[in-house]
Amino acid sequence: MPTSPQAAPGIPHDAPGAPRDAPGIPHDAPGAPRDVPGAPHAAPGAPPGAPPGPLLSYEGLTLTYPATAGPVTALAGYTLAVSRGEPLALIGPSGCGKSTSLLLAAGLLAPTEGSVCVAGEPITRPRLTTALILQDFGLLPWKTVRENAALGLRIRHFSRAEREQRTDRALEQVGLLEFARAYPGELSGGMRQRLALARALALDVDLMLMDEPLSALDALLREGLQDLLLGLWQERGYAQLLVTHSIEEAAFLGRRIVVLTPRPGRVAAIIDNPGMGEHSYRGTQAFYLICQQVRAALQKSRGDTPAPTLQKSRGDTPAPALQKSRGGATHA
Amino acid sequence: MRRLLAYLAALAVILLGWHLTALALDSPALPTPLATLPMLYRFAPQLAPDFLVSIYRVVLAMLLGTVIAMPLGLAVGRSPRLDALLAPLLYILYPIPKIVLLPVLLVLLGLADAPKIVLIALTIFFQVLVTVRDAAKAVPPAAVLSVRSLGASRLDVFTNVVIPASLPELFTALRISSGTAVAILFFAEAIAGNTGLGYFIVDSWAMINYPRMFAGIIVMALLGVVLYELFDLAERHLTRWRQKR
Repeated sequence: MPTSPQAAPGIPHDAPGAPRDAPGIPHDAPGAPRDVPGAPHAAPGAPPGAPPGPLLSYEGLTLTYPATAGPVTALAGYTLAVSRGEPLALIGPSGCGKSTSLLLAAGLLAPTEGSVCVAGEPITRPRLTTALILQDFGLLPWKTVRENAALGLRIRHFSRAEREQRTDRALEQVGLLEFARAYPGELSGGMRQRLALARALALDVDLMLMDEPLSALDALLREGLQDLLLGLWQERGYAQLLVTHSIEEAAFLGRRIVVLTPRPGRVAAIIDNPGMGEHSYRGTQAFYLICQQVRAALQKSRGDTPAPTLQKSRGDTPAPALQKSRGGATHA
Repeated sequence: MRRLLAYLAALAVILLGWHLTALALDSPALPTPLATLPMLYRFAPQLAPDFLVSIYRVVLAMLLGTVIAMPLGLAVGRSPRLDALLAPLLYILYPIPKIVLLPVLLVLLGLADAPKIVLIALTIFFQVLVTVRDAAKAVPPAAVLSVRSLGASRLDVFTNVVIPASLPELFTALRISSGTAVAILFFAEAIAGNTGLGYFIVDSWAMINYPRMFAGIIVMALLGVVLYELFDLAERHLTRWRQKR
């Protein structure tokens, strides 16, 4: 995020200018190669010969779509940049356009205003090395595990030999090789999620877009898969844009955590999370502090005071107090 | 093997029920199985070609109806614009029992195979069209999106997602409409021409030879079984993922 100062990691910056105002005017150095400090074993940075600048950038983006009750603006003045190899978590209230922003990055939706660029080019259709993983995994029940994992390669007309080699490697990496001939219906929820990952890995992606990929799984399974996601990111070094509802997940998997406003969504705050990248991070004090900051930023983005207390509302009439607590970010 | 045993058991139950009913009614119009089976043997040389003609007509007609209706149903199901255009047409034509067109078809196409095949194909066409359209509409958007995000063309989406997703419903439609198809076959063969099981049955009736008529009915039941088994076979092959669950 060009407008958000680098300083003070962990402090939620306030909504970085960027809304609506003059999408044409570039904010200071939009491409400022914001090299992630201490990017892990990653070496995920730009491969040699890659153009400089962010891998994915949204510039002054607005998306309006027609609905029965009139046009709905899902995103307005949305500006965000993701560097190569950067893991970023996106969190915000329901319906704030998080998922929409992924569809835009995947080239499946066109912005109403503003632009989405991947690798410096405006994106108009799906790109070979971008993967999109949806909430319910998007697996095809009529294809075997191997066929599902190979689907992207098949659609792109890769040779049979290359397909098999890449697919097997991806399946092995997610621990599903021995289930290659099963159908998704025979797999557990966690295994299906890993299959969706394998399909993306087989494409050797450099941009992984994930829409609440773990929300259907129970708590323990979730942590296991978060560990897997972290490991895969460290090994493959792709940029990762993870949309999540879970503050803990955002803190575990986001080097930066982007908090969005309610609809129409735009960036409300960006929280730096430099400690991320270790599997043991979950138990640390720093992790809890980040979670608290994210929670506070979420509450603030909705126009709530953090955790309204009885004392505060004592002098008030009951009605506003009620409103406050109802709007509270209890399920954030 | 197990399937065969189940068939034998079912056969035993039916024959027993039939026998008891025939005894109770004691009417020449309902002969016992014991009186019918010799007729089955006696008229086998005549029944065999009639059976083949009938099954040829019904299978070809169902294939024809399906092959034409399937692509159209998929297209209409996936295109709201096409659907809005064609839905009224469909809703007016679908409920009309196609058998009312038999006289027209007989005049236009003669008395041989063609009018029967066309009539059955028409019925199947509408059944399959409506079913496949609805199935194609109901394809989960996430499946389509995720395949499109892999760079799939429209054709890729159809071959990888929409068609396989619609197959189970297609087979249900075919199974349900096979009863109608056989009924239409019977009616058409009874009214026009002198071939097929429908003709054999009505001919026996005209001769007041009820055991012979029931021999024809038994073979018609066999035709139904063959149809169902054909669908099962095709379905097992084409929707393998559903057997493993």
